[in-house]
Amino acid sequence: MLYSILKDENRYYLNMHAECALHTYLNGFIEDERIKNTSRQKQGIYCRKINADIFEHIYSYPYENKSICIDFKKIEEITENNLVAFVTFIKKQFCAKGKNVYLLNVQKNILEKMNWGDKFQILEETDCIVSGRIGRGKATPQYDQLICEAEEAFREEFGRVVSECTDELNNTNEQHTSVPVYLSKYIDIKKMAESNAGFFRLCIYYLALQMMDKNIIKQECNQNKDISLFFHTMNGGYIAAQLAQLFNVDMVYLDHLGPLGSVHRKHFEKSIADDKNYIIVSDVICLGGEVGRARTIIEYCGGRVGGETCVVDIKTVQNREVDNRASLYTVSKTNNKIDYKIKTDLCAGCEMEGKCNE
Amino acid sequence: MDNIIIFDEKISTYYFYNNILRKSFEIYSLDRETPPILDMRKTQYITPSAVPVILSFGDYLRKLYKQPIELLIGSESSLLNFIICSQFKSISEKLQIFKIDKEIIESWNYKELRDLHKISYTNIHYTDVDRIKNPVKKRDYIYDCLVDKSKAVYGKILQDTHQLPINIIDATISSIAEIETNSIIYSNSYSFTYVASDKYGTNISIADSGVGFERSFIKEKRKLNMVEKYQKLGPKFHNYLVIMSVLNYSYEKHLKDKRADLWTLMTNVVKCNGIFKIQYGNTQVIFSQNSCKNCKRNEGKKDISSCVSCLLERQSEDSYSPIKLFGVGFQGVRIEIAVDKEED
Amino acid sequence: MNSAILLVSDIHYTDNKTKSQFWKGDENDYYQKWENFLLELQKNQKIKFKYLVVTGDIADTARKMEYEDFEEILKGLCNRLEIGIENILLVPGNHDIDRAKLTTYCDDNRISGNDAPNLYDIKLGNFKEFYKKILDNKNLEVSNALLDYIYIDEIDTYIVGLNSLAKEGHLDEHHVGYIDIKKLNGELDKFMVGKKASVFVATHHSFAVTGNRELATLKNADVVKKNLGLKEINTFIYGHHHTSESHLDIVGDGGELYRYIEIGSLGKILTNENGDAFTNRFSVAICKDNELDLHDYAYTAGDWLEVNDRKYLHKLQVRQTKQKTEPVSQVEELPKVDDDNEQKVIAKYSKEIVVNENNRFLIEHLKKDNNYKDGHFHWKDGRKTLGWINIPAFLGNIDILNRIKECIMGMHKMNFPNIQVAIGYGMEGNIIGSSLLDYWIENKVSYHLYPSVHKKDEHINREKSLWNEFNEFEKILLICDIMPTTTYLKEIIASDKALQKCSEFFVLALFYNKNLLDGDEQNGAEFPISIKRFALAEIDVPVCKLDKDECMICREGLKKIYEL
Repeated sequence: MLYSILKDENRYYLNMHAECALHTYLNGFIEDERIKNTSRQKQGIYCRKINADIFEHIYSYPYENKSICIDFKKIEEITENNLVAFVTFIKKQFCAKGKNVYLLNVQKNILEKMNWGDKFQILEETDCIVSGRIGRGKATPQYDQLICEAEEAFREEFGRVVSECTDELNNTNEQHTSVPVYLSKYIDIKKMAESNAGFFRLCIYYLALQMMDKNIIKQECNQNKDISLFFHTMNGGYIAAQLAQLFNVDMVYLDHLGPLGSVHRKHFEKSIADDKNYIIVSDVICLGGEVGRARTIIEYCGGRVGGETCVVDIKTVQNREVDNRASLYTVSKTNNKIDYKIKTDLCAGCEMEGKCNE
Repeated sequence: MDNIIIFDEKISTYYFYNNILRKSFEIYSLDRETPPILDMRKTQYITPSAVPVILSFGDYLRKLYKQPIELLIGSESSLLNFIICSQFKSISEKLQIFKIDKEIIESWNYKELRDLHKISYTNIHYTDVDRIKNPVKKRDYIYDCLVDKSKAVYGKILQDTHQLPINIIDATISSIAEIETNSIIYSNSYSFTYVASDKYGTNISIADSGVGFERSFIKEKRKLNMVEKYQKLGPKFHNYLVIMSVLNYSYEKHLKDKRADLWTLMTNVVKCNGIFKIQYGNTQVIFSQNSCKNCKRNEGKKDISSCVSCLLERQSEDSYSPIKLFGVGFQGVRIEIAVDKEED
Repeated sequence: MNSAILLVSDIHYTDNKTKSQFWKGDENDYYQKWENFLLELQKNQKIKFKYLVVTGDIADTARKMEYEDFEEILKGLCNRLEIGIENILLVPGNHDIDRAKLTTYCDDNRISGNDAPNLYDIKLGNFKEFYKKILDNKNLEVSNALLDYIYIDEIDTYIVGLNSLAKEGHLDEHHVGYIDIKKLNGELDKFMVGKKASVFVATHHSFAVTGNRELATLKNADVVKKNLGLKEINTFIYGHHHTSESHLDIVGDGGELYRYIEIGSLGKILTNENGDAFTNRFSVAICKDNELDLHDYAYTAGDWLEVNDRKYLHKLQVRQTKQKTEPVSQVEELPKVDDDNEQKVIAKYSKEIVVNENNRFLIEHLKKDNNYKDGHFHWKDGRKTLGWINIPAFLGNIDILNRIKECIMGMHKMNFPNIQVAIGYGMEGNIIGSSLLDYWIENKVSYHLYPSVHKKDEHINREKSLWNEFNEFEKILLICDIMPTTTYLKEIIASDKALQKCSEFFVLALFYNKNLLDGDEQNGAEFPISIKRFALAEIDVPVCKLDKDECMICREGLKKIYEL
């Protein structure tokens, strides 16, 4: 199963690091306690090496007749045997059929071992990393363009999936359970996760990258020792369990904050330790009611909230950025493809009625 | 008591193959039910190469007699210290290979030896390798996992104060991973590895007691080319030819698609002024830098028949023969590598 | 009459009478006694000294004067004993290096001290001269590793003299024995072309660690021995340490036998740290048929006497019956055993619940860290077991969770490999199930999360939908933390039509409390769906035995009583 393979009209896009990160099997060869820890530090989002099983997945994918763009960002190591077979595969599957192959962000020492020679036309180069193309054809997209197109492919797919999983709330008077407003749509993350399990995993990967970009999670595995993920819903648990595998961090949870006034487990207090960093994981942050309560509880118990993360973030007002919130999809005034509307009873008497959500 | 095997003061692999195996065979012939008791009370020192061999032999005996084997150790001996510090004892307990008198262990105040000199073993119970069907890819995957482990476990020892150059260290690490991969693929048993360095060089020894080459080749429907070709030599050299067939297979693979395997491993070791010994059944084949370093006999050839005949020519019964035939053999593959420190 | 080799070393000839036993002139009682003793030996032992080997430190400070004086003595000796010059082997030692000359030369020519060891002709200039004079103008190439040799006819053996001074210079750190192995290999190979005789080597520094003085040993002794061993050379003659601890050593995995012949000091007056005097010694090797008989003699209380005190090697075979591997007439093999290492999922069957006994770590984690509490708790929904387990602490710990994952992967393979759907039941089941998501995807198992049937509120209902009616799954796995009773299971299955349509239902729990499920059997009857239950570990939490009226929790409908 290849998680990160996306396509548009022209080509496939494959992200090697995502593949390595998302295949989080523990290998059973490592009995030695001494190295179990070091090995875990090289898995998940911190992996830097592509193992043979990933290549196995790449070879067995049913490709159509398109070009391919493979991003090797963050990959530092590939064993020789694998490289030899990979080059053979590329030549057979793509070059022989006249399709272009774009290799982006390859470390120079890895590229050397691939032995392309003249066939590799450089598009972009820095000290240690090089990107280029193998194949013929005059019109070559530039490096930046390829990166954009890859991102666009993901966003499109994600947008499509979100729209698919957004349900009309039939009764427009249906209340949100934790904050007193009416919603027009329900974004069913559970449905998204269950029907598109593989793609959703890729989304969690990108969410993880965002968390690292916003410095909610550190770039080095061993700097995350005092970070735990906190969640309070089942969807949150689903997302957090996978994030925990990617980052190798602990989790703390509370069984539902949603319904007003019920906190199911008092023992939870003991799990929050002073001075530890907690990152609140949710599926959708709407008005921030639940997240706010979670934050209060954590801080009350002595912990610190290091950040928030969610799949979908509804930005209800402008200029109210939350610094340490990482999200994958933002619904805002300018980006509201799913026609998300929030109403209150007061809307009835409002002079803008009917026009505010345009 | 007839079933005690007494070990000498110093145990080397040579001593093991020549003497200990003979005694075990005699004990087995007399009584198939009673396992031997290994008496190491006189022993002061086991050579680094022999350490995994003893463990894998214990593993084999455990499988044969279906119970852990009793091991007697002198209470005042430095061997006890070594056994505890090198994880010999903890591994043998975990895999239920040997049972050692608890009292002796508890009464000994051991002093920690070189922290890095620890035995490691490869667990064969991998839950998810089977999903990779292609045998070549499967091997690659196992190798990838093991090379990470090798680096973590042995990288430090090899980078030690005696200044091995980096390319040799890398080659050594991948060699260890290659051999362990082979033992998983071919033999389906635990394999034990021990790497020890001192100021003169490094000794690497990897031993397993699995089904070995012949059966696995037959299982994979591969031909033992050298066995077929040199059939006329008779049963005496059968094991030797099996070993050479495996090396030949690896040589052909290397020629075909440049894959690094046992053959390249052997040539690398020899080029780095080392000795490469591979033991299977009752036969040990030795490639040393003295004889093989600058050998060009195989250039341009499709198989290693010239190697086979060259070694056969030099075979004799003295200690410098590249082919050693011992009186008693037991299943499994054992590889020893000794690399001298580079002259500075 | 057997020929004999006279083995002598460390003469340290000097005119300082406090340092050397040898000095010029007739007052030298010592030398006279020695010469006479040798002649006596010849008579008594019926031997003839035919060969002479001197392993270094001939002079004490390598001055010309010392060599000139000793030249006379040595020439005299050889005349008396009738030893031909073709049978004399002289090897230089560290005291044969003229350090004064070396220092001056380097200073005069602005050569760095580090390069001094390479100035062979300078450092061994005087020795070279001496050599010429003794051996009838024979030129000695002092920069070679292989200096010279003699041939012992009676035992068909060459004794080859090696240069162990490759790194000796005038700086303090350059006082170390070292043989240039690259040079040696080349020169030896050339030397041995076409020769079938055995070869012994003689050099100044020691090949073995002698006593406490590790510095006396060649720095690269092991490498040299290995290289020589490959050429089948394993007899080493040396001095330098002024003791004579000849011995055997079995080394190497090939069972190679090394023979060390150490020769004591003939001339030096020396005491060790304890003030004990080293006795002056020399050795004699009598050539017999394929054998050498070694004898040591020490100068004690004014007389030369044979000694056996520190010698472990009296005889040595010239041509070693090399360690032979047994001639193999019939190869025996210990029987082949098949590997029985199939991972034993040691499973215990306990009233239809299969428990994996390999998962001790779960129980151990329970015991420590206060993860289990006694006291009067009842589990939720009034189920009447006491005690409370801090499940969140388990599942929150990423290491424990990873180990649980491994166990489950193993159990899946063995026990329910054909499931189509996995359901993470409740918060806990969901955490476990989600952490295995890539495993489910790989094995084409569809994963769903399902909230506990006992949670009732609007928010939860949204999460309750399982798969739609277009998918019909037959084999389902339910993952939860504590094994539910049959009644509870019935409730779960009844809660969704999709679950009712399956034909095989597997339940996998972390823990199974045998006390809770003991009374279960009666409820178990008549289930239309086949149910198989698996647990990772078994716990023994007692059940509340109080009557409904007596137990406050039951009576008041409480969930728990907390510790105050």
